Amino acid sequence: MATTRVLSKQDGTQSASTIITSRAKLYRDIDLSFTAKPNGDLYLKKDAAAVTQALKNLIQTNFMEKPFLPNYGANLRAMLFELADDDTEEEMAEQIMRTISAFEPRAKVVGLDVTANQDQNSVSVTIDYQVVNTDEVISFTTSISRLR
Amino acid sequence: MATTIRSTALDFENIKSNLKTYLANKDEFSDYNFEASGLSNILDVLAYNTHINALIANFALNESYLPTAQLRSSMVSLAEGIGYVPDTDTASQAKVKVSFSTTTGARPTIVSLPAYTKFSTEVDDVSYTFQTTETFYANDNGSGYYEFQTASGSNQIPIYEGTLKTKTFLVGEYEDNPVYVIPDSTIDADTVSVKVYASATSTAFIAYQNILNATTINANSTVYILKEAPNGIFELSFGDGTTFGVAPAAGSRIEVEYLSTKGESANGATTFTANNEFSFGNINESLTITTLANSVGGKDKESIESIRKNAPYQYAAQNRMVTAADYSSLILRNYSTLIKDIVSWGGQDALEPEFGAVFTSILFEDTVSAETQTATRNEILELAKQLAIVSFNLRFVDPITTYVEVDTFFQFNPKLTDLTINAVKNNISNVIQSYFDVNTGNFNQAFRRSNLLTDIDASSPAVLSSRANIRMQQRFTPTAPSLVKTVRGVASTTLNNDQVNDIVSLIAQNAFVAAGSYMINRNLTNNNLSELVSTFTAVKNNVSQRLLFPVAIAVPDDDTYSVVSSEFTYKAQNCVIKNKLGTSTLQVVASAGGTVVLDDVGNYDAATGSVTINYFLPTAISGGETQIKISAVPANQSVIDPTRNERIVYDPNRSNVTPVITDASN
Repeated sequence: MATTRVLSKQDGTQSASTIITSRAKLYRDIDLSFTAKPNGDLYLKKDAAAVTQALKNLIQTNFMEKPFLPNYGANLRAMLFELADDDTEEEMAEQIMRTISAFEPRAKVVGLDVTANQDQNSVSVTIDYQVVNTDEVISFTTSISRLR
Repeated sequence: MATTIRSTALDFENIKSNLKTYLANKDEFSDYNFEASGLSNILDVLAYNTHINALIANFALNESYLPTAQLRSSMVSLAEGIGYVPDTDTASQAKVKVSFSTTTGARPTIVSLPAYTKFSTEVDDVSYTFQTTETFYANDNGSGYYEFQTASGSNQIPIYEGTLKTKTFLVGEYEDNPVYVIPDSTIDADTVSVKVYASATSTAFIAYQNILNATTINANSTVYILKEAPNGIFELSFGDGTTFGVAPAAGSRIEVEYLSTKGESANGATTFTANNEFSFGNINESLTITTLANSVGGKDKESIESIRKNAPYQYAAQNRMVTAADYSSLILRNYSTLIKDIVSWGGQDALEPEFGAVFTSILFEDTVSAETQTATRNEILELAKQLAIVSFNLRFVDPITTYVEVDTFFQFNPKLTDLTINAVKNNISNVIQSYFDVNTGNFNQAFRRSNLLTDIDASSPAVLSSRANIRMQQRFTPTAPSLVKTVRGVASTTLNNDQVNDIVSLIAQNAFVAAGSYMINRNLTNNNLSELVSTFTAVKNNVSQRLLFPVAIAVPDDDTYSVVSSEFTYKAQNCVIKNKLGTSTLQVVASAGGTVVLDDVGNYDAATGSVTINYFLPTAISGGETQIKISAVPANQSVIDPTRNERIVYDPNRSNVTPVITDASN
């Protein structure tokens, strides 16, 4: 049975949300697709969707791209001309793990699979992660390939 | 609660942090703090943009003011705004004797050496070309020997380092407001000549003058303006033809000639050879070049720090010599390549006040020869005639050098260093030398003992403390000062040679009254007869030299000597001059035994810091020196603060460094 917490009169003006320990905080981020709602506002990304967008950003960013934060990003472009073998997959997985642990505290990675798809000249990355402070486990897959 | 974005930050991190603070107080977004979030990326763009704009605004403001500008182009442009034209490169100048002998029959009586005759030399294995800038003439001495001379009859032919370059421009319509670009950043502006010919083919020209040298400017003045462009090259322009300066008419031709120079690197050349044989009529001979003065005065373009320092002073002086500082500033502007330091003061501040005079003391660079120094002084007098508003007399006085002797004692614990005691002593000697090199040598640079001791203490952890005894030293040659100098000193006007000879010969015959009357009757002095007689009597019978130290000397003491000289031979004994203990009387005393050889050879005045040595003639000075060194203990050893034309130099030969070994560790 859920516990109901009651505040004293004096403390009643405080925001209850800081006292209730269950997670009430919502992750809210801007949607980088910049699609507009009919009223002109931009769409929001919330909770797991916001974290997933952040992870995609992180994986697709290379070193020196973010101002004044030269080591930000997975730096996968540096591996563009590497041989596509098992070592490469491992190295990419390592890079992705490193950057997520450094820059995305909201995601706890529970599984990571990097598979090179030689015939399509692409790499498929599947990340299973848990949004911290929730039990929610999300899996998302993104594909990395050269542009031309 | 912050509802606005703080806009005071300049750097990226702070700007981004301010944006985050703003977002923290809004409910719409919560992910601004996670670097990977989309919002953080947008904040990056915003902060970066703001940061760059802030930097540009900061740079632009800095570049707008003399004290903060960093770019040469900004500095030159700001200086131009207050009428200051930065120095261009300056060609190194040497003086040579140019001659040749010929046995050719039917010799001309006079031959000419054309302008821009070239000479080669080397400095540090780099070749440089020097050249004359005007035509010189030589007369046959009757036996086929020709020696070229300047217009004033001197055989010192000036030659300048650089390559002669000529630029020709054809003038278009004035409405175009033409600026003639000279794409060369190594122009020596002093060598620029601008000639304007009436047409493209005309041979008659009008020579234009640099506007900086023009004293009056009106619509008919033929002046040009040469200034450094932002990219370091030069631009030539002329007046507008209506209010200031003639504008060359459309269709005329402008010829600009100048030396493109390598500046300072050509200084110090000692031997020169002519590039070509000398040809004149039927004469073809090699030129004999004798160096009379090594190349000096070459200088690179004025640095931006120098512009920053000089421009405001020039603006204050307004190209007019009014205050003592104006004299220094304007002399330095014209002769900065030859001068290490300069100081000027009004006659009212002189030791013996002379109203209506300005005193200037110039410390020339070490490489400048005595002839060049004299020539420069004469040129400065001419400059002063042009630029002085009031008819002050400009007087040159030589710098007075006071040497400083330092006896240093330092507490030394050998366990605290790997170095030997001698190595530490050497280090300390170097520290002392470098203290004096950096902090003294020029005018108005004081010696401060505590600063020196701080440097010594910091030189090694094994040096625990230190102290130093300080002496001032001046040097003199023991000869009688000339009577002529004294006679000229009491004259109120400049005496001619005949007058000086008359007066000196009267004094030599002990006819002091006649000599005095001679001067008074001819209105040559402001002194009265009795003053003159006593001056002449003193000079004739008691010829003395006066050494003036910058600060007071220690009062006489019963235990230690305040004034001691270096050793010399007098009456077949090695002697020194010392003050008699407890008195200010100076005696010549034998070095061994301390017997008084000559009592009362002079005295010293502790308060004014002056030492008077009466005339005496030693047979030799020890150590092969030509001067006797008089050392005096200053009343206050903590500081020696020179004024006017006094400067301080370290004398390492009469200084000592003594270690005192100790076990103490702190």
